Formats: sequence, C-alpha cells, structure tokens
Amino acid sequence: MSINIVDRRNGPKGKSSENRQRLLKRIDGQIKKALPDIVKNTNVKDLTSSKERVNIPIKGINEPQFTYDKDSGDKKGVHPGNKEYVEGDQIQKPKGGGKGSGKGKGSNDPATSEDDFTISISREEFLDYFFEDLELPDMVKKHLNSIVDFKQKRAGYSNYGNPSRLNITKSYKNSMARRMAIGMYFDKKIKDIEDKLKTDLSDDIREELIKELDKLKKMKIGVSFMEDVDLQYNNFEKVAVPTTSAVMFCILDVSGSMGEKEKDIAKRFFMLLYMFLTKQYEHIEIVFIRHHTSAKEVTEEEFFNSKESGGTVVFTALELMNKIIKERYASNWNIYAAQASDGDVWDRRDAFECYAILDKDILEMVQYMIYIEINRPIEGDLWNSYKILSDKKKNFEIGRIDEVSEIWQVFQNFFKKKTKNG
Amino acid sequence: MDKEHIKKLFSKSDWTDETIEIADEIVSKIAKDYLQLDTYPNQFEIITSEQMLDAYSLIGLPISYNHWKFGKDFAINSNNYKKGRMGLAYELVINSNPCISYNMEDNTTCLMILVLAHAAYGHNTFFKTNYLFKQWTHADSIVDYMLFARDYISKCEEKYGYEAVELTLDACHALMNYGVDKYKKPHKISASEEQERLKKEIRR
Repeated sequence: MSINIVDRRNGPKGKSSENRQRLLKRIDGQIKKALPDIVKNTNVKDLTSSKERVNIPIKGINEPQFTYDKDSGDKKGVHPGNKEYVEGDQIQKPKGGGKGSGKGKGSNDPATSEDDFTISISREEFLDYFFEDLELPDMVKKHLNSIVDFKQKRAGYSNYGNPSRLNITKSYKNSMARRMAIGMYFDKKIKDIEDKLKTDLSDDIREELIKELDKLKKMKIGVSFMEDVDLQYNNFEKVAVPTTSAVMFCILDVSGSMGEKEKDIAKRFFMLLYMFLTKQYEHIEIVFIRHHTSAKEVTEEEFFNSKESGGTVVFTALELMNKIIKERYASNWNIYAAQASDGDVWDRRDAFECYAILDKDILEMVQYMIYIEINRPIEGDLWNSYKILSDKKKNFEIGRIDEVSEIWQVFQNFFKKKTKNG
Repeated sequence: MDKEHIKKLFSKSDWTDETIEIADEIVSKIAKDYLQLDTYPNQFEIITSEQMLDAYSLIGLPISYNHWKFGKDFAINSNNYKKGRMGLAYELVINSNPCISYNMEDNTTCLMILVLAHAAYGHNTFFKTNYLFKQWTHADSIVDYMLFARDYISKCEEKYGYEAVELTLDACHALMNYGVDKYKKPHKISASEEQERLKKEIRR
C-alpha cells in the first residue's frame, strides 16, 4: 500500500480570512467603546505627540474560562528545597483568602491589567477612529490653497550639482563605460600596429611604429578614472504644494475659581480640538491666551502650568484675541477659537461687553468658536448672554462639562456630522 | 530497490515525492512487520507556513465554523511567528480515517522522514488503538461531522443573525474544555496493594 501524498501548497490560502474579518469587526466596536476611556485616562498630549503607534487595550475579546479558585480548596504539594515541611503537614490559609481580588468580571477599574489584549494601530488610523463620526461644521474651509508651501521632489539626474548630491552608482557606471569604450579604441589601434609590426617593414617605419605603439600604450594607461562628464548628480525640483492652514485660539480662564480639575478638563478639551484640526489642516498655529482680570498671550508651557490667579474679566481676553487676529491673521487664515471658563464673571457688564465684541467683530472673522463652561452649578451671566449669541450665530456653540468623562460626549456634540436637512 | 539510488535520494536535503514514497515503504515495513502497529491509511499533505498558521488557528481541524476567536488566534500566532518568537510545528496530525497529516514544505529530507515515522505511524497508531480515542472519537466520520457542524452554524447565522450565534458560541467556548468527562484518574494504591500487584506481575 503506497502512501497518498497530497500537495496543498497551491491550494486555497487564507482559510481563516473570514475569521480575521470577524475579529476586525469585533475590534472595531471595541475601539470605539474604548475611546472615551482613552480621553479620560491617557495624557492626551501623548497622543498628539508624533508617536508612531497607539496602543489600545481591548477588553471585549478575552475568552473567559473556568478555573479553580486559587484561594480556596485543599491543595497538597511539597515544594522542593524546603527544610521545614514534609508532606501531610498542615499550614494556615493566608488571611483574607477566599475573597477574590475582584480583578476579573465586574471590576470597573479602567486601568488595564497586563494580560489584556492590546492592539497597536498607527496614529493615523487611531485618529480616524477617534474622529470617525465627526466633521467640521457645515462650513467651507474659507481659505483653501491659501498658503503655498514648497516641497523638494526628485527629478532625475543632472550633470551639475552640489557634491553632496553626487550619485556614486550612476557616476561610476558612466566612468566604467567611458573607460571601456576608450580602452577598446586604444586596444584596436595597438593591435593594428602589432599586426603591422609582424610583417616585413623597413627599419625606419618599424621604429616609428614602435614609438607610436609606446605612445598608445601610455595613453591607454593614462585614461582617467573619473572625468567631469561622468559625474551625475541627483536632481531635485521645487514643487509648489497648496496647503490649508488654520490658527486656533485657546482662551483659558485662570482666575482663582478655576481649580486644577477645571484646568485639566479644559486642557484635554483643547488637545482634542487641536488633534481634530490637525486632521483637517496641514498647518496649524495655536495662540494661547489666558486671562484673569487681564489677558496675556503665553506659551503652551505657561498656558497649562500657570500659577497665577485673580479675579475674572473675560472681555480682556476677547479684546486681545481680536487684536491678534487683526494684526497677524487678518487674511488667508482659517480661524478657530475655543474658550474655557467656569463662567464666573465679575459683573454683568463684562458679560455684555463679551457679547458685543463677539457679535460685532470676532464672529465675523472666525470659522467656528466654541465656549465650554466647566463645573458651574448654575447658569451665570456669561452663559446666558452666550446662549442668546449661539442661537443667533451659526458659528458659535456652547457646552458644559462637569466631569472628565463627559468631555468626549460634549466634543462629539459639537462636531457631529450634520445631516443635510438638519 | 536500488540501494545506491536510495542512498543518493536520502543524502540530499531537498525531497521529492519519490523520497517520501520510498521512505514510507521502509518506515511502514518497520512499523507493520517489526513493531506490529495497527494504523489508519495515511494521507500525507504538504502545506506552506501560512497554511500551517491557518491550521493552528482552527485547533488543527481541517474544517471549522467561522468565529472571531479563530481570527484572534491566527493574529497572535502569525505575529509571534513573524517576529521570531515562535517556530511552527513540522507536522500536524488529525485523528481521522484516513489519517491526515499536514507537513511543512520546508522540512528537510531528514525531517520529512522523521515526521513520517512520528506522525503518519506514531500518532496514527495511537489514534487508532488508544482506548479513550476509541471510546470518544469516530475517526471515520470526524471530517463529515465538522462539515455538518460548519453548515449547521452558518444556517443558524442566516436564521438568527450572526450576533446571536456569536453570543451563544462565546458561551460554548467557555465550556469547551468541560464537554466530556474524559478521564477519571484511578485512585492511588497503597504500598501493600502495590506489593501485591508486583507479586502478581512477577508470577505471570
């Protein structure tokens, strides 16, 4: 009986591709579920930094198994190398046993334990997931192709160039070809003369021929290794790339009533907005403005870590923003603004002034402005006047956030894809 | 058989169908005549590493229903394999009649012969004669049964939607290892019983 050999190598591949599809489908849902947690727990700044990959802990694809409870039951065993116990000795169970650590089912600890299945996706993919259902409100990018950027692009080879761009392979090939061609020319001549020398010749002619032969041989050796004509340089061309650019204003209230928690919420919100805008625009500038009774343009570092505090006058910040826009971003910029505050204003007049400057000046210039009120138990003057404004103006939205976990929800509301009719 | 020819075949590291056929002739002779092994007929399949990964993810079964768990296993295995954290088996044998063994294409001649003896005769005879396998598995119909199970589950998916089926299967997988009370260990015998047993053995 001979063996039945079957060669399956050319058979159908990807037997498990359907299974892989199902896994992806499942993971898809899980990633979306994990997003609010990520906004809540990870340092959002980490996500915006240029890290290549983002790891997302996935919870929904572990497979539960029944195992023995390690804290209960009788266990017998003698560990090798111990000097104190022999088989049959009884020792006390450790105290607090039998309760279970609560790490498994029912644990609402968002911290991930090590055995969680993590998937690693590129930053791009991550942002895609992150902002999947969101879009910039129904507004055209005002200044498309406004700034022209230049990009170096390869454009073949050239005979002239910078030594640092010398293409060695190409040049060497040329040199080799040239040396071979010239060498062959000399070889042929030398051979001709040598052939002639073999025939009967008069001494005069023979001497002349020998002289010529010497000359040719020297010339053949003298063919230079590299000539200018051999040299090839990588050529680059400047190509104009139209880019869209935007400026984002972050206005933060740092008055005494804004605690660490409030600032943290604001910071996370700004980061989200920044990440979202990076997806839409290639070039983004951020202007940080913080204010208490007076407003100041600051660096990012100062913005998030300032110790300063005082009373609250919101108007100064808006005034400063207005000034900066007019000075620096008057033309060709897509302007976005986000303001975070606890809504605690000094008096009603301030709220009114804010309303006026937004209505008259700022909202005419910006694409979209968001105001978030953090941790405010009652609706104050600022909220009320902004509320009227947001009903009136299409490009102004307001929202409130009380807890870190709400950020994602609020953010989504701002940028939900609007249906054509809605 | 031409001895020189065989020697030549076996001293190359590349194998051909002929190599395997001759090796089988020799190995089967040893297995049947000398060791008197009882085996199923063999189906010796050559597969690539990718197909081996596929087989891994289906717990070695040739056919199975669709489930994300298998996709997950595939992802883990192939990732480990590609990063060099894990090698792949040289062979994978299925308890069926005929006994199907999957063998990696990049095995050397020596490995192929080893695998042939190990899987196609060793595992094979164990499948056929082990009392637990005899009791709990049906080598003649396992492939047909898997086919039935796969079609049944896909029919269920059509009828009830795949989410409902998936939920059920998830639960089933948790119970998977407890489906059959496979083996009750015999209780430990005391020293005196052991003495008795040994005496009996010697007397025999």
